[in-house]
Amino acid sequence: MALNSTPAIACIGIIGKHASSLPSCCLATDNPLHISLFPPHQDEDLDMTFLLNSCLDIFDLRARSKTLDQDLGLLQAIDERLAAYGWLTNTGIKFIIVVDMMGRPPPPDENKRRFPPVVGLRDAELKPAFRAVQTAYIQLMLNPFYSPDHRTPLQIANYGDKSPEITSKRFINELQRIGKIWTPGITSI
Amino acid sequence: MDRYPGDYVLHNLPLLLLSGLDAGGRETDTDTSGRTNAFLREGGFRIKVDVPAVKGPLAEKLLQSFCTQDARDAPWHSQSLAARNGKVFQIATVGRVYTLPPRKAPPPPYSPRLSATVANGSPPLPLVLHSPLSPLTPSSPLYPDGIVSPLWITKHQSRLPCALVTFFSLCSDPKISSLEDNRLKSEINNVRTVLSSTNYRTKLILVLLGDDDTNPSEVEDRCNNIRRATGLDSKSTYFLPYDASLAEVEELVGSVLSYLHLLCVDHYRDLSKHARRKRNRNVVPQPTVQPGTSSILPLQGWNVRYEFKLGVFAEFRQEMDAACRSYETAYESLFGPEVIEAIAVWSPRFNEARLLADIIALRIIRCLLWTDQGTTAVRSWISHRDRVKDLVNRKGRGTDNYGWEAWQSTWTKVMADLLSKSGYPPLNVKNPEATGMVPIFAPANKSLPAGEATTPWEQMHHEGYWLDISRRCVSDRRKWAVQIPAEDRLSPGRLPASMAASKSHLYDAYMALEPYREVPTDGSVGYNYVEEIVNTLSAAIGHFARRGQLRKVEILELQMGLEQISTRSWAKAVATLQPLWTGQNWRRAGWWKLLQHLGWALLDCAVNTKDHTLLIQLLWELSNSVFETKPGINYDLRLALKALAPNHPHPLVAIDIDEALSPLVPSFAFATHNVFVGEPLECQLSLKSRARTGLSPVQLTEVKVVFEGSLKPVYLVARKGAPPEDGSSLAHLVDVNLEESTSTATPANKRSSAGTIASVTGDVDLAIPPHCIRIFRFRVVPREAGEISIASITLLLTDEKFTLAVTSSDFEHSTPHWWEAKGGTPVPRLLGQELNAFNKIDVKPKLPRLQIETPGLRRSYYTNESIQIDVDMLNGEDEDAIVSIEARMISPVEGAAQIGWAAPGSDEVPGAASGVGILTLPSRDLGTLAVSGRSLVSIRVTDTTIAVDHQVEIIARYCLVSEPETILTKTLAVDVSVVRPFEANYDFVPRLDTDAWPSFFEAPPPDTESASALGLRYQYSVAASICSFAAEPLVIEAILLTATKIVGGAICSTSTGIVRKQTETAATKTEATISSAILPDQTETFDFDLAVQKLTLGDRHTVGIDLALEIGWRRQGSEKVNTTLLEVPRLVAPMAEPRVLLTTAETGLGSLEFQAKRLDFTIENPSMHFLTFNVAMEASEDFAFSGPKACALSLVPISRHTLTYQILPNKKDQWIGVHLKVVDAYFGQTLTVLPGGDGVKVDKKGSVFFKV
Repeated sequence: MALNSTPAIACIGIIGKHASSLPSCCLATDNPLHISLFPPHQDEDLDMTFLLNSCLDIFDLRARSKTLDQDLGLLQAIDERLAAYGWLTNTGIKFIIVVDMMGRPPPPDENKRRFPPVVGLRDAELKPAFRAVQTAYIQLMLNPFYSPDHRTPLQIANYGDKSPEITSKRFINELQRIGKIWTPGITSI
Repeated sequence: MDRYPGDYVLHNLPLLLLSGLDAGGRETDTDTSGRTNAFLREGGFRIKVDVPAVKGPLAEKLLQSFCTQDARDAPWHSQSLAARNGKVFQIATVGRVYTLPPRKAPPPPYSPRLSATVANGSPPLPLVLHSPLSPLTPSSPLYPDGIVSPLWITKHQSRLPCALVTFFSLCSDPKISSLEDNRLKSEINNVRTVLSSTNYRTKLILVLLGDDDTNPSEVEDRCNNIRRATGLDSKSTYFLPYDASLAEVEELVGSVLSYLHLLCVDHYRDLSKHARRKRNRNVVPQPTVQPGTSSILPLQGWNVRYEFKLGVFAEFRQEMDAACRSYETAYESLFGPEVIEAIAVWSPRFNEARLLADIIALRIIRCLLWTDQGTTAVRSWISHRDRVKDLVNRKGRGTDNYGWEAWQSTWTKVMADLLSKSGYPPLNVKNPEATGMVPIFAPANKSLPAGEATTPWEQMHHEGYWLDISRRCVSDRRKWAVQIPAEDRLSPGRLPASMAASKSHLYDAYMALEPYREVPTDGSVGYNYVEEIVNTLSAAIGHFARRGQLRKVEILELQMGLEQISTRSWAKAVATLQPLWTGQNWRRAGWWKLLQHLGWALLDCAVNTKDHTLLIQLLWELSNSVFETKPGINYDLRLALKALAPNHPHPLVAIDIDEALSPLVPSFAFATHNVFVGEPLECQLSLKSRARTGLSPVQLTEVKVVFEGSLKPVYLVARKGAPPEDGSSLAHLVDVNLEESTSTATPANKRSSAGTIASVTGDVDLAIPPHCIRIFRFRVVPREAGEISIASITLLLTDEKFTLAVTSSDFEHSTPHWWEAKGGTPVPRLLGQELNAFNKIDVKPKLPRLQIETPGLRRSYYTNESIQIDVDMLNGEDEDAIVSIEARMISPVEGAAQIGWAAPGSDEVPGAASGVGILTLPSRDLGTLAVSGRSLVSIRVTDTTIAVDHQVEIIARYCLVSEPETILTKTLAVDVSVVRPFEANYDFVPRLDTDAWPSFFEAPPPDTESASALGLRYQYSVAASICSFAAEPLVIEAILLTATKIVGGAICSTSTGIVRKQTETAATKTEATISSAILPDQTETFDFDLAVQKLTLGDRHTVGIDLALEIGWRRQGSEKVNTTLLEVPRLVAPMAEPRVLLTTAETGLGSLEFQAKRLDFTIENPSMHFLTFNVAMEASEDFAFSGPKACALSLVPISRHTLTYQILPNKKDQWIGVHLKVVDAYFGQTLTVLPGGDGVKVDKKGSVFFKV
C-alpha cells in the first residue's frame, strides 16, 4: 500500500461557474472545465470525476456561511489516501486539488520503505499550488479571443458548437507541471 | 458493530434491578433459556419473594419514572453523562424471583478413572473452584487458554446488579397491617440473607408504597419498625404515599438514584480493586483441573484479562480516561509476543483473540470519542487496522482475500456506528453563521501537541464517509470471493473428511463466512453482498443527505443502482436510477461523463425490463455527441425497438429538448422584422444533427412548428420514399412549398388536438445524418397584425412500434443564423446581435396600396397667392375601394393662411381650427374608386399673407369592397412654403408742376364739387426698384401705387407704374410699358407720378401719405394674376416751405456739337409770407451761361417765379453741375436746388447736375 510517504497531487479539477441569467438556475450549474490526472491515478477518470462532483456539495455548503474565503481549505477526505482541497475565485471558478496522501509510486531505483510514516498536511500547504493554478487560469483568460458562453452546458451540448472545456495546451501543460512539482512545504511554484 | 457480541461492544452502565413492580409482562429480564444464560444461572443464588408484585396506578407511575431514567439509549459521550449529572443506570425490571449468577463453578463431575490415578488412599485434594467463566474452570468456554469471554461482560452488565430495588405495598388496613408488616420483614430478611451469602456487594433498597390513606406518623413508625427489623439504614428505605403525584414519584426516583450513584461507583471500584489485586499477584492461577495439554493461558494473557476487566469496571464507573488507559495496556499486552502471537492460527482462540483485540480497540475509540478526541480516535482506528493487517499478513492468510475485506468493512462500520452512538458533538454542532448546517468533518483536536501535522482523514469525517468505505470493502470482498476456486467452495459434507479438513484452514473466515457458504457452488444463495451494500449505502445516503451533500447522495444512489443491476434486479435498479436520470443536476452542469455512466447502466436495465419508453428516452439522449458509443447497443430507435419486443403496446414518448440532450436540435428564424399582413414572409427552419459520428441518420416522420400569434402551424412531413440527399456536404438548403392542409391528407389529423387548427404542410426529406444541418426555407403569410413568435418546434418520430415527440419551446438562448447559399454551399450568417432576435416578429398591419400624389405641387408659393394643391388618388388595390379623404393644415403662425376644398360646383368649405395653428377640413367622400381608377380633388390655400411654411396632411381612409370592416389609412403630408416674391426700394423725386398755381384772389368755383381740392399741388416722381425673390421668372402685369392713408388735408393721385428702360431713348419713351417679366434675383425699376394737392389753399400743414405698391403678377404660363402688396415708406411733404426746382429744356441753339440748354430755376413761395431771395449763379468751367449773375428776388405769398438761364456747355452727353445759390434774405437760409424734371439730378452732397 505504501507508495511514497510524501503526499502528492492526484488530480486538479477546474470547475466553471455558469453565469446564468436566471437566478433560479444558480443551483447545480457548475460544469467541469478541465480535469488533470496524475500518476498513479491516470486511469481513474470516472472516480475522480465523481469525487470532484461530490466536492461541489461542499462548495455549496460553504457558500451558505457568511464569510467565505478564497481558500476553502480541506473540503473532504474520502479515505486515508485521497483528500480534496478547494479554492474559489472571485469570478466563481472553482479549483479542486485532490491530494494522494500516499504520494506517487517511487522511481524504480529508490528503495521501497515499508510503512513509511505519513506526513501530515496542513491546509495552507496547498496555497502555492492553488495560486499557481489561478495564475495559469488568468493567463488563459487573458486570451483576447476567449469569449465565455452564457448558455447553460445543456444548451451548449445541444445547440452550441464549442465545448466549454479548456483545450489550451499551454494551460494543460502548466497544470501538469504544477501537479508534478508540488510537495508539502513548497513555497512557490 | 452488530457483528460483534452485543455485550462486548455496548457501553457499560451500572445495573439496577427493580423487583416487585408489576410490569404487566414487560420484564426486561433477558431470556432465561439459552446456553449463555445457563452459565450465569446454574448454581446461582435464587432470590424469591412470596409477596405478589405491587400493582396499581402508583406502581405503574413509579415504573415508568424509573424506566425513563434508563440510560441505555443515551449517547456515548461525556456531554450526555454531564446532562444526567453522572447518574446513568441500566435499569431492568425483574419479577419477584431472580437468580444472581454463581460465584464459583460447580466442581467437575467425579471421574473414577481420574481419581484412581491420583488416589493412593489419601482423599483427593480439595478442588480449587473458580468462576464458571474463568479459563481455569473446565466447564468454561475459555478452558484452558481463552482470555475473556463476552459472557463475562454479560454477567456484570445484565445479571449482577449493583443494587436491587424491591418494592412492597404497605398495607393500610389497621386490622392486618402488623401481620403484613411482619410478613414483609421476613421476606426482606430472606432477601438480605441470600444477598449476604453471595458475597456480592449488591445493595438492597426498599421502597414501600402506601395502598391507601394512612396517618403519616403511623407510616413513619411502621417504616422505622421494618427498617430496624431488617437492618436496613434509613437511606435505603423509602415510602411513597398512595396519592403521590407524578412530581413526588419523580423526586423519589431521583433521590433513589442519587443515593445509589455513589454506592454503585463504590461497587465497581471494589470489583476493580479485586481485579487489580489479582493482577498484582503476577502469577498464573492454578486451574481447577490441569488440562491435558500444555497450552494454558500465559501470564501476559492473564494480564490482558485483568486489564480488560479494569477497563470495563472503569467504564461502569463512567471513568473513561481510566478505562482508556486500562484498555490501552490490555491492547498492548494482547499484541505482545506471548499472547496473540503465540496462538496458532488454526486455533479458534486466534479468532477469539482477534475479536478481543477488535473489542478493546473499539472501546479505546469509544473512550476517545467520549472526550471529543476525534483525531486520536481516527489514528487509533488506523493503527488497529494496520496492526491486524500486519498480524494476518505474518500469521494469517494475508489481506488479499475476502475475509480481510469482510473484516475491514466491519471495522469501518464500527467507526460509523461509534460516531452515531456517541452523537459526536463536533460533527453535529450547528454552524452559527449558516442555519441548519452541520459540519462535514470535525477539525483536528486542539489537544494535539502544537505543530503536529494531521492528515486530512484524521479530521474526523461524518459517518457517511465511513459507511462509503465500508461499502467499498464489501465490494472488494465479493471481488475476492468470486475468485475462490470452485473446488474450495464445495460444502464440506460433500467432501472427504481429510480434504475438508485441509480446506478449512485455507480461508480466513473471521467476520466472514466459510467459502462454501460465502459463494456456494451448489446453487444455494451465498452471502448477500448486494443487500449489505444497499443497506450500507442507504445508511450513508441518510448521513450525506442530512448534511446537504446532494451530489454525493446522487453518486451513492448511482452506486446502489449499479449494485442492483449486478444482481439483475432490473426493476429495482430502474426505480433507483430513473429519478437520477430525470433529475437535472448532472445534465444542467454538464457532467456528461457521469451522465453517460448512469445512462449506460439504465440502458441495460431498459433492455432487460423491456421498458420501451425508457429505452427510447435513453437512446435519444445518448445519441448526442457528448457521449460515447456504448458497444453492443443499436442506437437506431426503430431497429432497437423491433429487436426488443415484437408485440408491445404503442408507447408515446415525449422529450423536452430544453431539459434533455438531443441528437437533433431545431432552430427557427424569420428573415426580417419588416413584416406586413398579407405579404409572404421567408422563414428558415434548420434541423441540426448533434448526433455522434457513425450513427445512422435520424429518420423523422414529421416536424411541427407552432407559432404564438396568428400564424398557422407549419408541418413538414417526410416524403414517402424520398431519396436521401447526397451526403457530400454537411449543410443543405431545402426549399419547401407549403400548402394549405386539406382535411384528410395530413397525418396531423390523427391527433385531434392539432387537427382542429388550420395548418400548412410541406413534403420534405427528413432523414438527417450525424453532423448534418438541413435548412428548410419556406414562406408563410401572416394574416393578422400583431406579435408572432415561435412557440414550439416538435420533432416527431412515428413508427408502428412507437411515437416519439421531441419538443423545443425555449428559444431565448438560441443564436439565430440565417443560411445563405454561397457558391453552392449554405453559409450561416449571424442574424442580429441579440439572442432570440429573429424568433419573434411584429407583423404590421397591411400596407395601404392606395396611392396619393400631388402633381404640380410647387417648391414654393408666394404671399397673397392663391394656392391650389391637386391631390390625385390612384387605387392600387386589387379591388374597388370606397374612399373618403380629409385634410388638415398645420401652420406655425395662427391665421397665416386659410384652407378649403376647391370643389368644383360646390361651395368652398372653409377649414375649422382644431388646434393652435391647425386647420382641419371636413371629410369628403369620394365614393367608390375602381381598380386603377383615379380621383382628383383640390385643396385651396388662400390668404397667405405671411411668408411661413405650412404643412398640409392629406389622409385618405378607405376600405375594400370585400372587407368593409377593415379601414385602411394612407397619409400624405406635403410642405407648402410661402415666401414673399418681391422686395422694393423707393426713390421720391419732386417734379415741377407745370400747371399754374391757383390764385389767392380767385374765388373758389361755386360748383357742387366741394370736395375737389383747391390748394397747391406738388408733383413727385416715384421710382420703385422691385427685386424678385421668387424662384422662377414671374410676369408683372401691372403695378399701382396707391395711397392708403393721407394725413394733413390733401388728396393724392398716382399713376400706373411704367417700366424704366435701361437704355432709354427719347423715341421709345413715348411707348410706356407697364408690364414686364422679372427673373429671379433681378431688379426692375418702375416709375410713378405722384401728385399731392392740398384741399384748401393756404393750408400750410405738412402732408403725410402712406403708400402701398400693388403688384399684379402671374406665373409664366399661367393666366392667373395674383396681387402682392408691398409697403412703401411714408412720404412726408412740407407744404409751406419755399423751394427751388430746376428744369431743363432744349433751346435748339448752338452748334451741332454743343447745343445750348435752357435752365429754368423756379423759386416757389407757398408760404403766406413775403419772401426775398438773393440769387447768385456761380460760373463754371463746363459751360457758359446767359442770365442774371446775381439778383434779388422778392416773392409774394403763394407765388412762384422762374429764373431762366441759357447755358452752352462745352461737353456732351455728360452730367454738368450747376450751382445757383438761393438765400432767403430774411431767414438767411440757403435753399437747395431740387430737380424738377427729367434730365436733372441731385447727388448726395446736394449738388444739382443736368444732362447735356
